[in-house]
Amino acid sequence: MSQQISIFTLASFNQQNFNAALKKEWKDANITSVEYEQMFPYLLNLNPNSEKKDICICWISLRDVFQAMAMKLDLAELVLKLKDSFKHAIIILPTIDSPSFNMFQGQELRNLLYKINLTLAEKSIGTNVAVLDPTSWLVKHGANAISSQLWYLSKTPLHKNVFISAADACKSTINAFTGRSKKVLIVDLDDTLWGGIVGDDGIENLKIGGHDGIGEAFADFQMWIQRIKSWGVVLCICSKNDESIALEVFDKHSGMILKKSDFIKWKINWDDKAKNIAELVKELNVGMDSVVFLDDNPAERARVRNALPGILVPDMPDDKMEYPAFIRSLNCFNSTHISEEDQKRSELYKDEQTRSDARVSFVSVDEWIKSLNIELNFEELNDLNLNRAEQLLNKTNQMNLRTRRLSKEELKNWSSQKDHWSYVVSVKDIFGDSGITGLLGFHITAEGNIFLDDFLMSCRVMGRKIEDQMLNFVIEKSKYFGSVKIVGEYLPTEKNKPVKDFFKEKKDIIFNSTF
Amino acid sequence: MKTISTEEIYEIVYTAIDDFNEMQEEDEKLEKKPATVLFSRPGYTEKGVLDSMGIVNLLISVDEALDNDERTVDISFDVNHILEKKESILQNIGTLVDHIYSLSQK
Repeated sequence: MSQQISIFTLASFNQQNFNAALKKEWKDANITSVEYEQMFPYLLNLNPNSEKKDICICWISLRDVFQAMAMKLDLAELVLKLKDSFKHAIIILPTIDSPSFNMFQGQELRNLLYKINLTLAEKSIGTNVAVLDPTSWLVKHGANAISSQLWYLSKTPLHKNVFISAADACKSTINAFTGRSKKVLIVDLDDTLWGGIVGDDGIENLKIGGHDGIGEAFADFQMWIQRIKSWGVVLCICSKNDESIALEVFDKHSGMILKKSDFIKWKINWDDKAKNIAELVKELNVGMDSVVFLDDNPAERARVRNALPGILVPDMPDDKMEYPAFIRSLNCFNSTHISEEDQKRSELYKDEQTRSDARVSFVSVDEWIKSLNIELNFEELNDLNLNRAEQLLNKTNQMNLRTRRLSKEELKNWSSQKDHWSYVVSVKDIFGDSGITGLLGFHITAEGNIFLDDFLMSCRVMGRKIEDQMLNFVIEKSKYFGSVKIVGEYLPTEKNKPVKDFFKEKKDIIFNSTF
Repeated sequence: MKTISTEEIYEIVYTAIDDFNEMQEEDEKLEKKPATVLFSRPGYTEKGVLDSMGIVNLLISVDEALDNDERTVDISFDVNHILEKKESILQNIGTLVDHIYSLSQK
């Protein structure tokens, strides 16, 4: 995306309040909108690849359904034209909310709404389109969500607070597309993961599951955390407790949904939580802005927020029964696609822990790496590895030479061009299979050089000299193609210093840019 | 209905302005003082920051604030009527408060 984000909003209602809410999320964005009542003419006159914006948000409503019916138009297909016109944008489509008025007792219109929403949802899979359900935004603001007064006075159908929720959801969607979703969830234990204080109350008196309202709420809360883990988020614990007593709850309390094995690391001691979290984050080799910390204690939350800028520490509700609703409302873990690698990310981190433990017994890093029997497999981009390749391309921040972001379709089109190649890199060693963790993209220039378009690798496999082997692969390719030089270009971001440090010392590659 | 003073109405209107200002850009925020001009009127030199959408948003915020306060919950705050009479009622925050006070006396 360009430096100043450009956002285009499209709706048949007055978008002024929605745009103001978006401006709260993207302070420097250039936000433009289609003129009032001009949505249909705009959509009907769209041409492929004609629009140059970063984000397009098209919010259709019931009125549009009526208008499309009157004009005998297929509304879903019309809206999906945006995909071709905004080829390089991320398109966000809030679905049509299904009103609960008596006038819809006949199922016909309701079924039509469902069909339109389903078409939008199905045809957006694997594309640059995200379909969002506005129900939660409306429910959150209750009776005030839909305002007849605002509608008749200003052609704004919804209360400003609904637009604030919608803008927040749009922001988290963009974060998911651009690899900025949170990757690590660190939780406290007492009164956060279970009801009560294990050291004082004893395991038998903790509230988790069972025939108890609070206990059931904690069980549901744990179930949602387990779901979040299945999206590829890594779980850790940071708690002020005696480790042996706290961990006993996982083994002995029958109500526990989460198991000790769901967590890849923990710091359970009486030290400062900010210090413990900083250590966990360092060990995981992720940025602080990838981390969420949940703690019932406001003082601990304030301490961690102050000490660790970048970390997300949301306020938890006082009422424990609200915990499940609270965690469901966190949209910072959004993902556009959950890959096999996401689902087994915790296992991959555990393999990494075993690797690090093994490293301690070796004198030199090289000796340790040699002992791992690392096997790399380079495979040309194909339909089977495309999902993971796109995910890596759009999520990898640290070891990423140019941080080029492309949709699946764009990546596929790019690599199918003459003299353009994309390779995915799989890594395995004696401790486990890390799966596809690297991506290479290069093309032959008019001068006969190899230009490195993509050189990126998941931070999970950093420190095993995988990057050296990837570069060797490119060098071999350059010999095969008889290329004169390998040319690289380092595009600095806030996060990609590791790739700079790697390439700085490499003599086989000529850089267009200075470090 | 309980009696309410103009000072108390100012307090409620200023709460509404806080709510309203949340969505405003820095240079479009309303200052919480009686003389704050709300919108620019032809033939007057004083400039206000609100456009027509801004005026509606402010009045909706004031309406909600009145509804949320038990002292003013019974006041019949007719946004449409105020928009029709905006040249007089919405000259500034003071005239808006005066209008609400007059409604409270009915």
